[in-house]
Amino acid sequence: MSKKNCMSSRLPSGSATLFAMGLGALFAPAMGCGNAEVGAAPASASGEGTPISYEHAATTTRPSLNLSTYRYIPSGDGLSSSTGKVDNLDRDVDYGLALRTASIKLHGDLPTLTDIRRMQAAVKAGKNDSTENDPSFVYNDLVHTYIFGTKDGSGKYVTTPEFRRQMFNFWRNQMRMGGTLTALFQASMTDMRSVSLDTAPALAARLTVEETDMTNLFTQSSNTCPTFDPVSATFADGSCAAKTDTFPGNNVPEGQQAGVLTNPGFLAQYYSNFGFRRSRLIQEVFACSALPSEFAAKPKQIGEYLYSSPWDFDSVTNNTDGHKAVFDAVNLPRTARGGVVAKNTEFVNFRGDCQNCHGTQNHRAPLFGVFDQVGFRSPTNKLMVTSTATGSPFAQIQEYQWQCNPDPAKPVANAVCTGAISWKYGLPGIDFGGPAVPNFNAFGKQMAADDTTAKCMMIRLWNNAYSRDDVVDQLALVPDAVIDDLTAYFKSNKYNLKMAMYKMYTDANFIRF
Amino acid sequence: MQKSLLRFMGILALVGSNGCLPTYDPSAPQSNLPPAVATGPQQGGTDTSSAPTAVRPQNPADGVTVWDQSGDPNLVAQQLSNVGSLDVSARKHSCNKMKFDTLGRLLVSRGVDMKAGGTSILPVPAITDCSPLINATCAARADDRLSCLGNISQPAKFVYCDARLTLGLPQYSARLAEATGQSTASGTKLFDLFASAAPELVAGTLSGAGCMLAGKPAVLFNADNTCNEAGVTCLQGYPATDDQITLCSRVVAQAVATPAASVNLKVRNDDGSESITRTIAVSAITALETGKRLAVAAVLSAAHSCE
Repeated sequence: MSKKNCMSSRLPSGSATLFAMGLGALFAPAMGCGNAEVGAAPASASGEGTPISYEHAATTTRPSLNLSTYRYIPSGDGLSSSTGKVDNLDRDVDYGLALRTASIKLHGDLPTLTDIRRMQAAVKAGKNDSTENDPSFVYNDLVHTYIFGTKDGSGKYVTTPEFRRQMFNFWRNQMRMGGTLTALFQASMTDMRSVSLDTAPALAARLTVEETDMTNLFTQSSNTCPTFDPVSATFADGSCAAKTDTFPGNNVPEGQQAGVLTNPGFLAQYYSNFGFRRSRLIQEVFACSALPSEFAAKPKQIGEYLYSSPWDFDSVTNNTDGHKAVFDAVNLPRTARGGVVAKNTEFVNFRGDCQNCHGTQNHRAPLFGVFDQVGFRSPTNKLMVTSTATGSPFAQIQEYQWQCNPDPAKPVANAVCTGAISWKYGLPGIDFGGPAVPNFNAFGKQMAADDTTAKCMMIRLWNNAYSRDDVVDQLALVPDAVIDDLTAYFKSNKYNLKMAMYKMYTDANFIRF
Repeated sequence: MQKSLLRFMGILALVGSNGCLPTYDPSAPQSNLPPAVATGPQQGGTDTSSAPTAVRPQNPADGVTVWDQSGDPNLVAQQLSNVGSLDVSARKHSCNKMKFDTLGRLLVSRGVDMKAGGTSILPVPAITDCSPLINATCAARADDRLSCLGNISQPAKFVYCDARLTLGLPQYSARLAEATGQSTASGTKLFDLFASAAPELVAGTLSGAGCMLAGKPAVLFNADNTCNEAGVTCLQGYPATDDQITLCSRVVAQAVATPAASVNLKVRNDDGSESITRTIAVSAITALETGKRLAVAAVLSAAHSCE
């Protein structure tokens, strides 16, 4: 949902005549998990938690149209993206408009008059011979220059500063981050540190510009905090582990980073209770769908709940027997910021209707919960995100998954919970806890191996190219039939985003209006 | 003069652009509700409205309203068929607001001054002081500055800087991307921006790098004050059609002069009353100059409402 800023005009009001653009944005409502409980179940066994209900605020309900199946047969519109060159007499083709919009997206400005004239001359000549008189040839050449730049003395293509700047801005917008953030460090109440919110977009932009495998966005193990100079439009190396006076780094050693997943700016921007906002962003930005994101082959009716997640029902903490969070107040007291001890045993009751989303969320979020408000990892892998229990203590792993309850026979301050984390159901679990640096890279590799993330990059590129809205926030969906062959091309070219971009902008569909 | 300017721009934006506006769907949704039963005295004759049928694009709220009203999903399907299935609509270019950053560069490349003290103000960040960009008249005094800014037109660079939020500067601190759609506020402010830029473009040449051809800047107006095709093409980033040139020239020819005016600048006192601090004499603008400015502003507004 986009916020609209209204400022009173400096000029006399009420005078302008505007035509309605007819643009509407669909609002993606948050789904409520069910009705609030009245009262809380009393704690029974020693250390056993007290369940609390926590509701997402629902704004509007999604209309259910129940449309019957029908098939729309277009006449003359909607070409397959694999259609080759077409006759210049096709009345829908407009190279001038295509050049204008491509220039705006790739170059950040209108096409120059020189380029417009070159395009005009080719359209007028109307040949089909791959020369300057061939509009397809000229258009493709101009777009190629926008994306790949021009050759230097050694014959190597050098991207233009304008393209580099556009890619940086593109990724800033996709990740919704930029600038600097100042927040509290670790458990301190007063120690404020700063973190750059530009290094994650800079990493993504650099991978794009340098034609590096885009799955490195989730798996690159070092040099993951490059900087981007907006004046010279150049990238410079940067390590997320490097410290400065005000920036503490992310406390993940070089060689064990995982692209943007361990980028401190990325983590700081989306700090929230339980780390769920970080996990949700990763899902929405890199997998292009809101939660729930995992669906079993057939949903099950379990009591009053229609359960659709493939995760086992009750695989996450809830207020049923055997699935409650247990707290060890002696060896693992619940501490809040400043060292204050929270003496309650409240835990969020992830009921059946919550589990459609939280079956997934609770198996992802803890991995990112070890980072504090400025993206610094706790040296002991303690969760640095707060719980919603009274007093806002830092969360403990058993609040997500009851399987990670402390063993009363072996109270360990930092026990390993085996296989607690994974990108999706059915993938190898990644351990949580213990003294070793968590295996962020393994999670990143799971994301990289998922075709959904490759398709999502193509969808985001597509929506940007066609001036469409966001795929998640405004439901500007791109069906598989439209995006599949481009995704296949992207994957077959080693996830080279520039090549996919060139194919998209020179596609027979893109030049039609 | 400014009201006329804006009214003309709105009309010309509607009529003059054939390059960037989306295609409108033909008709508003039809209701299947039964006609209201007349309970009063019988009236003879047919009660029909002579108002023209409203033509506007259908928005999603209309679709849901019609479904709620009619209870007929087939009607909704009919509406959807006008737009096309997702397979079809996903392949079509849409019409999103031009990015704030792009807007600034567009102005520079067409020849608008976006510098402060010789240094470019681009990119404009969220936290920035736009007061150095105010024109000398308003910069002269601080007490009546608000009144001055509201009554005396400012250079485009100030409008661009000061209205950055309205024009769409992304609010990353709120975890928001830049708005994609044009709102009434952003559209209005965009037109204001182009209206502010028009005098500069008319007074100078299109000296920006984007409008140079073989080392020479494009010309906006011919010697006979008709619009020049190269200039209009460069302004809109798309080859100008004969109709657009004709319309542009007509605006130049048919504009009326703006008379000189005296503007009282005021300051609000503690008791709520207002005092006049100074009176600014605003020079008259000839009909030709007014027409040229209108034409340039209209071309820019029409062409760049969409990216």
